[in-house]
Amino acid sequence: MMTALRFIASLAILIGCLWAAKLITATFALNLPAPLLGLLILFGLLQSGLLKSKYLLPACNPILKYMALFFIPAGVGLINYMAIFSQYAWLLASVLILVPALGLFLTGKLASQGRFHD
Amino acid sequence: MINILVGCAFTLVLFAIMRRINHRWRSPILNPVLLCIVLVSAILLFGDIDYIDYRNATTPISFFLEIAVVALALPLYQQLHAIRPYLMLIGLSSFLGISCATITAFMLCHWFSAPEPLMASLMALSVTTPITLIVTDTLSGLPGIAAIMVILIGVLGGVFGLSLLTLAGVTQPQAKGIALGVACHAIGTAAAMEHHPAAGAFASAAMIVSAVLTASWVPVLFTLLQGIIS
Repeated sequence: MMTALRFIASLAILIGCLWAAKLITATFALNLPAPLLGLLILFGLLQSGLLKSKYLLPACNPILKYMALFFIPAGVGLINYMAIFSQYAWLLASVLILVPALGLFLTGKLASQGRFHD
Repeated sequence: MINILVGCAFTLVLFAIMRRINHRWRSPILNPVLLCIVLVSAILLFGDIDYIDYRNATTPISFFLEIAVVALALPLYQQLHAIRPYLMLIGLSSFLGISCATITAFMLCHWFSAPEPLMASLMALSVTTPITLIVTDTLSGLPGIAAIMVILIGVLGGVFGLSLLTLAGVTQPQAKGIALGVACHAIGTAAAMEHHPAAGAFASAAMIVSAVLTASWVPVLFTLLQGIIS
């Protein structure tokens, strides 16, 4: 019972941040995506000490752990674009290989300039 | 028409089964989301069910997509003190990695003369899917294509990423972690965690920093690139 209440309370904080962000982006016609602003609002609340991280754990842990589940409906949308997939197969294949390969190579090279101590 | 209860329960059960399969064999190729998307798509196609019906029946699941992005604030906050000395390096690496991914995809699209909506779907592929979907939406791209491409990039990075980094002469686990987190989001982060705990911590920090950067920088970069080309 308590766990369920804690989950609902922390989910309410997340939804509150998202709605506040939506309200702000709509009022000021900002180009910033609302969920990202919501992330920044929540981060600000945590950083300023107004909100303790233990209040967020009950909802954040399962949501982040099973986040992958939430993409399935959007991903299935690919069935509407089967024609594009076959028409641009070469483009998509080159993007699939080049984008992560170049990204890993350059980022890895830059990041290895860091002096890390264990 | 499919009912909301059926649509959600079906997706949840399928996801739970695929996760078990993934845990049993531990291979990035058996990515649970990828398997679920392929299976659901096949079922809809063979069962002659409209995608719109399935999408409407699963709105409670998609609702959490935006919530999940907000929830990313917690791990960022929790890791901030551990990574603070390297924040500049992680920020610069993310900036380089994201810009490189967007420019590469843009040039390829230009080369293959891809239509505008397709191009807009390929601009933000190295970050975690909810951010990609949000950026794709901002640029009026096709979410289905963006989602599947992000997952495939993550899977490829998870399978080949560490060997590629070793080949490139990157030796420190922290640097490998940053590269995997920036270029291959959550699936790369999972691979980094299995490789080394320090790599995992840096990967998840890099993943979140690039998520924030992507959402704010990619739409601007895309407009800039379009301005240069035309």
